[in-house]
Amino acid sequence: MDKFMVLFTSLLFSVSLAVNAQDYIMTSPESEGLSSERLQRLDKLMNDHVAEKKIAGSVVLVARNGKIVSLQETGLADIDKPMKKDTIFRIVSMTKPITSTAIMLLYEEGKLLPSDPVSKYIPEFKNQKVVEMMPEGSDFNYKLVPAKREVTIHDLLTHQSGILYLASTGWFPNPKREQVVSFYREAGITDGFCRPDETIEDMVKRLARLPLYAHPGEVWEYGLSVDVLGYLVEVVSGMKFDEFVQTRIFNPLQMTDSHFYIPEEKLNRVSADWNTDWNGSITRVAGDLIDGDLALCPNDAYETSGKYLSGGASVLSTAYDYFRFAQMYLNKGELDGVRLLSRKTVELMTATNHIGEHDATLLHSHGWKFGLGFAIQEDRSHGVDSGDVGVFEWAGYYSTRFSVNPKENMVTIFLSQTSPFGAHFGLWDKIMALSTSAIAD
Amino acid sequence: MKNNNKISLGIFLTMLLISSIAMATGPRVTQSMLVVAENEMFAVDAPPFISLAETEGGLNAEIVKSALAAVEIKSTLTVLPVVKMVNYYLYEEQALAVYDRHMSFSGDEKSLIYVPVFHMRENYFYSKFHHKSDLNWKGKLDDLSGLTYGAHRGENISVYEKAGIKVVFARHNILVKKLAAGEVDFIQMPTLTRDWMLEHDASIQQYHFAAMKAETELAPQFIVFNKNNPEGKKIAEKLKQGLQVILSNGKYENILKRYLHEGVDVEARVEALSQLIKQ
Repeated sequence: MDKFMVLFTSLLFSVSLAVNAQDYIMTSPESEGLSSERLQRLDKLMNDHVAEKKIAGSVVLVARNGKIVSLQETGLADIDKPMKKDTIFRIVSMTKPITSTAIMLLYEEGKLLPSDPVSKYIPEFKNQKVVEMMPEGSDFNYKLVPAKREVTIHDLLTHQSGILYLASTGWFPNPKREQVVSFYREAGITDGFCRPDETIEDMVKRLARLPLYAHPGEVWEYGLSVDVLGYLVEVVSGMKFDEFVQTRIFNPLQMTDSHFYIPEEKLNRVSADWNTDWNGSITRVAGDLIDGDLALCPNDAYETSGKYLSGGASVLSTAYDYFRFAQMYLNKGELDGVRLLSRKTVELMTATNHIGEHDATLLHSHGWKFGLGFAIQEDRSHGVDSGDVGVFEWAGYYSTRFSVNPKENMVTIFLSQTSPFGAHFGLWDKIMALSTSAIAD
Repeated sequence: MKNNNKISLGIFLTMLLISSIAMATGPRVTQSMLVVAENEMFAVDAPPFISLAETEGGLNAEIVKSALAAVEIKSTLTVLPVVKMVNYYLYEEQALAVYDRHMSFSGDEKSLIYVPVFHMRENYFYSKFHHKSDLNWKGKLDDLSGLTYGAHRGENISVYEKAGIKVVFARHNILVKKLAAGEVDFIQMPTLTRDWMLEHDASIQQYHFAAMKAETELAPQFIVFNKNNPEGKKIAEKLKQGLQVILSNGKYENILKRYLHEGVDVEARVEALSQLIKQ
């Protein structure tokens, strides 16, 4: 294709997108060094998954150089309701990078340090104990030993605190994990996906007095650490967590469709959640999804108010809003002239050596590390590849994922609402493969 | 003079060097930062008797701390969210003492010393929101056959089962929520606890927790000391002495007045404990 044709195609694409995408400012893939034709493979992938009833619908956004080149909705948001570009999703664990951002805003103000023991701000974390299993036949099958050191804010940011998710008993069952989770159960601790009727303060203060799964810094264990950070924001800032996030992150980044509790006028934009067997059967989830210790309550996304503000799971958002959040990170802390974080802070957050010898294998594989809020690709010698060393990303339980590629200046966002999420790893990886392989410069 | 200055400067620089080495090499977050608790006792959240939400740790916590302070003994109360951990510390770590309003001990009873600290009455509560007309309670559990009782973990439930009452276990705060949600028909708690919950959680007020008519007898609550702990017998005896001191100097009465509502007979409780301590 000669230069004229590229320009002509770009112009045509821009006009067509401008018409279809309403308020979203978009540009042609070609003008940003991507292939339209190759990006259409991404559309086909999503259409095929909808046709095969593996997902009900999705929104996929691809941006390069700060410009959206593809924002494609597919399938249904709810029964008889087509998916739209501005459909609102439960982003669940994609809340976690937002919470980490809140912590780092306080770090930049000198109000806390990653090296601070959490007990400096939440005294209940003082003198924590760690569970050690005892040989069979002992009076007690476990022992509580003093933690070798206190849990720090860095441990919470990087999931090295030894705090678990209850649902982890299903992912990686072992007697010690079961023992720790039995304390959580008795203390009324939940994974926070169902918005319990209590404040985050009440939950964290109980959690802090329960034993840890491992000595701080000795494991990488995905868990409720980021919920603790949400409460820490309240303690350090003196503001309710949602208020802090609204005024310090959502407002400056103009994330106008991101909420902890959905405003009533936006209720009809919230996607339903779907349950798939990944084999041609998909149903709208009507009630709660309880699987052992995993309790998902998709209907709580329609609650317009409540007490619980989970830093690990509560936010609802759109593809466009989350793109703005991700683009801020890609821009090293700034978006549209508003600087949220400094370049040095973003570099610190996306460094690959925070978790030492551990790997962030939960959603990825070996070769992935965890920074202060995201998994980061450290090498390309392992199976799960998102396109480059330095790519950072995270995902959500109802099948959502975002990925930022600093080397190629790209953001890719996939939002769906389908359980169980374990079936979706392959789809996520294909989205990343097709998004990256659309690079044509 | 000149030499003296040199020596002083030398000492100063040496001290500075030593202190800077210590600062530069000391780990920031170590086990040595952990507080060593003195005469540590363990208790389960039971507001307002034991509660981190209360400045002094709650009514019973304040009584025990004041009584031991009166005989010049320092103590630490560690409040835990689960009974299981309290049991662990008592039997596995040979803790000095434990407290739980509904604790039942699975180990050797002979190794325990019960020291009374406060007298209270419990009552059965139901929700008028879910039971518009009063429950048909005439003072016997048989009257409540077929209903669901919310029991505290560790509570002896045989009497309820015998009366044909279904039983659901949970910790106290959850039981209150279950009562509000209509998931259990009645629970047992002191009126003081009901009032504390209403004060701290406005959302449950609409469910109108009402007391059934028959109230239990005034019964003592105990701090349970462990004879297997080297200090168990001694501190239990000291607590009794301390209680006598604060009973006689009026401090005990003042603590009760701060926690109990108007109309509650404080004097009866002071007298009841005085009699029991003398035994």
